[in-house]
Order: sequence, then C-alpha cells, then structure tokens
Amino acid sequence: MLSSACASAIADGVISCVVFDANSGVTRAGIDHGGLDGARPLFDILNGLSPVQSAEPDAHDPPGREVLIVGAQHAAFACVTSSQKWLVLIVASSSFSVALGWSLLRRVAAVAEAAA
Amino acid sequence: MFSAAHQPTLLVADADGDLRNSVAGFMSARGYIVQHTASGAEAADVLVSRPIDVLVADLAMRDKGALELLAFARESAPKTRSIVIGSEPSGREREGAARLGAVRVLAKPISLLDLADAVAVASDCGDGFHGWLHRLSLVDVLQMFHLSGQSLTLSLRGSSEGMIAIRAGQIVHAECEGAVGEPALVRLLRVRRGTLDSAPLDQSGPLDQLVTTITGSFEHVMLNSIRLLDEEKRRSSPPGTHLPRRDSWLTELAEPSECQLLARWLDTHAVAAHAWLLDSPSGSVTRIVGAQATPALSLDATDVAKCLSLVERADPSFRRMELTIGNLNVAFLRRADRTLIFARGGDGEEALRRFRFEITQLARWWVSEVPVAK
Repeated sequence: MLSSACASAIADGVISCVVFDANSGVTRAGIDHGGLDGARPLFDILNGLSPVQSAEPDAHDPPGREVLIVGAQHAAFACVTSSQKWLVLIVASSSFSVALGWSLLRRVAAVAEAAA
Repeated sequence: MFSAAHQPTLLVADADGDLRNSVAGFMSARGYIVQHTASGAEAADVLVSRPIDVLVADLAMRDKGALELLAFARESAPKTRSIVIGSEPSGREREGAARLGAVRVLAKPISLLDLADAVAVASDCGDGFHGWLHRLSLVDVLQMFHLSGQSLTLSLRGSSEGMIAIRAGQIVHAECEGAVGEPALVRLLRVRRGTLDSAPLDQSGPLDQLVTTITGSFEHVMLNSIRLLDEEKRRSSPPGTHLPRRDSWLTELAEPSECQLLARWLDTHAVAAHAWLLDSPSGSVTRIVGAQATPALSLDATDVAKCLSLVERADPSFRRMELTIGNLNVAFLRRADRTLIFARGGDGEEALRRFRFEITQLARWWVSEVPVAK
C-alpha cells in the first residue's frame, strides 16, 4: 500500500518518492529516480533546531515538521510523520507546483502512518 | 511688474496701522492693488464685495482673528488665497491656518521681502494645488515641472543649499554655494534629502531678464549631470571596482533601498510577520519588520548559520527553503548575496496556509520587482 502511494506520487509527476525509517534511516518503500543526494542534510534540518525562536511555548506535542527546498534543478519536500517513525521525501523538478508537492507529501505520510 | 489687465488684488487685515501702511506702500510698488482694514469684520465685508486674490490676515485681531477670517473667506470667497501673520504663532495656530488653506504663516516682525515672496507664491497658487509632500526626490520634482512646462524657482535646503530656475519646463539656471550652472546642478543632485520650496519665477524679475547659466534640453542637461556624478563616483571607488550597470539615472536617484521596499511590501501584504535580511559577505543581519509583532520571534545567528549550511549541503543552488517546526514557520529566500528570512508564528493549518501563501507571493515579488542591491 505504501509502495502504491509512492508510485501514485510518481504518476502525479514527481521524480522520486521514498519513505525512510526515522530511527535507522533505512529505506522502507519508494521509488528513486534521482535527486536524493541531499536527503541526509534535509533530515538533519527536520531534526535540528529552528533558526527562529518563539517566546510562546509550542502547542504541538510532538511538533509537526516539514521542509521544502527549491533549487535550480529540484524541489525537495520532506516531513517527519506524526508518530515520528517515518521520514518521507519527495523530489520533483523545481518548476513543480509547490501546493501539489505538499499535498502529495502529506498523502504519502498519511499512508505511511496507517501502514505502521 | 504685472500687466494692467491683470493686476492682482491684495487685502491686508491687521490692527497695526504702521504695518498696514508699510505693506500697502511696498506691495503697491510691486504692482498689486492693495486694500487694508483694521478689523476682521471690515475685511469680511471687503471679501464679499469685490474679488481679492490674496488676503494677509493677522492672528490677533480682536473682533475676528485670522483663522476665523480664513474660515469665512473659504466659504464666501473661495478663490482668495491666504497668508497668516502673527507674533509667535503657535503650532496649533499654524496647523489651523494650514487646514484652512493658508499658503504661508509668517511670524512678526515680518520682513517685507519675505511677505512679498509669500504673496507672490499665494498669487501664483490660483490654479493647481499647494501643500506639503514627502518622499519625493529632487529628480521627481524636476521631472514633474519639466513635463508640465512650468516656470518657477526651487530653493533646496539639505547638506548643500541652492536654487534651480526652470523656465517653460527647461532648467535655465542653478546656483549652489558659490557655484553656478551645471556644476551647481550636479552639487544639488548629489543632495539626497532635505526640503524644497517653490516660488514663481517672475517675482525676481521678468522672464527675459533672468540670468541663464544652463542651456540645452532638460534631458541633455540631466543626463550630462548624471554622467558627471557617475564619473565622480568612479573616481572615489577603490581601484579595480566597477560601478554596476543600471537601467536609468532616474531609478538610480529615486530608488528606495532594498530594505525600504521590503518593509513596505511586508507592511502591506504580510501584516505582523517577521523578516530579516542577511548579507552574506558582511554577515550582518537587519531586521526589516516584526519588532512589535506577536508572538515575539527572535533570530539565533548560530542556528541560522547551521541551518543555512545544511540547506546548502542539501542543495547548493537553493533559492528558497520553507521549514515548519510546530507552531513556527520559517522561510529563507536567497538571491545573490542576500538571504531574506521570513517567519510567522501561529498554530494550525490556517496559519500554515497563510505563511505559505505569503512566502510564495513574496518570493515572486522580490525576484521580479526588486532590483538586486549594489
């Protein structure tokens, strides 16, 4: 089911869609057609500190974490699922719709959570 | 000075007989038809009985003070322009006079020459608007008067002081601290901020008697002046550095800074958001907006540097990064050596949607509309 969700994302136009185990970093499912070279630093960003601090306490527990990086060639969308078990990474071309990228990322993350 | 067919009329309302007589004599000699009254009530009668071009009214008349008279004139003689005089007029009186359309407020003891200048300006305000504007560059103003073919003088006070005369939309004379002609114009164009006053050109003499120190078309004169400014800048630049090309001299002189443009856009389109501009070569961070916004957000320079380094490792060509951690949404937009950091606090999907919409709009606007800072 998770593989099918990743394949569906590919069918919707992304280049790669992969789900990793958040603890071990091992690939759980997905399709890699390139653009995953920056996966490690992306996950470090997701798990690192925010460059901006708020005076108000965070209402989320655990906090939702999502990141998007748009470069010259690729746009990479990544998130930690709410159970903190999975990391989802989608790579699309840099001209890919940002709204659609977020939507596909959340769809795959929801399927990963359900599969867990 | 004025043709008989159009002799401007002046009404002086002041309880001080000596002042009335001296103003009447001085202004009559300058071609005005002058009437004077000792009270506000008499002045009001004159205003309704015949057309008056300029009213000079004293604030301290017992029966009807200048402000009351101005209010009356506004209703009963709307074409009359006003000048208010008074002993040490207060801020409230000045503001009141301005609201009632006074062209100038002069403090006693008045100089007859200053009064004559003010009357000339008031007389010249028969058509068009007069008032107080800000955020105009000298080039904006010159361009405006050039396009409308005006004849007037502009007095400029800033880091340098001087005047520019415009005849039928062409710059014909400039003087600045001992210099005249184009060198004076260049000095005045170098002044970036200050105040400007306009006055009719014909108050200093007939048009054909005005000294002409600048010849050539407006465009030619301006372009030549800007070229001289460019050369001056090049001479003062360190060896080996080159001035960046620009599209036009007009944008160069009138252009607000990148921070100002960003602040204006953010104030309009992303109310209560936070933004900082990071200049990579110098490492300086400038807060653009959000100092008073809630929730209060602060930037940690070390974490920003760590995060930027990770983003660059993930994609060295990155131009945009969005990060959501709990109720914090942060974005980096990169262009040339600048990184714009945009942040908004707020819980829930609605806050997230708003943040993503704003950052998309901001990225598009910043890249397409804001010139790259030099």
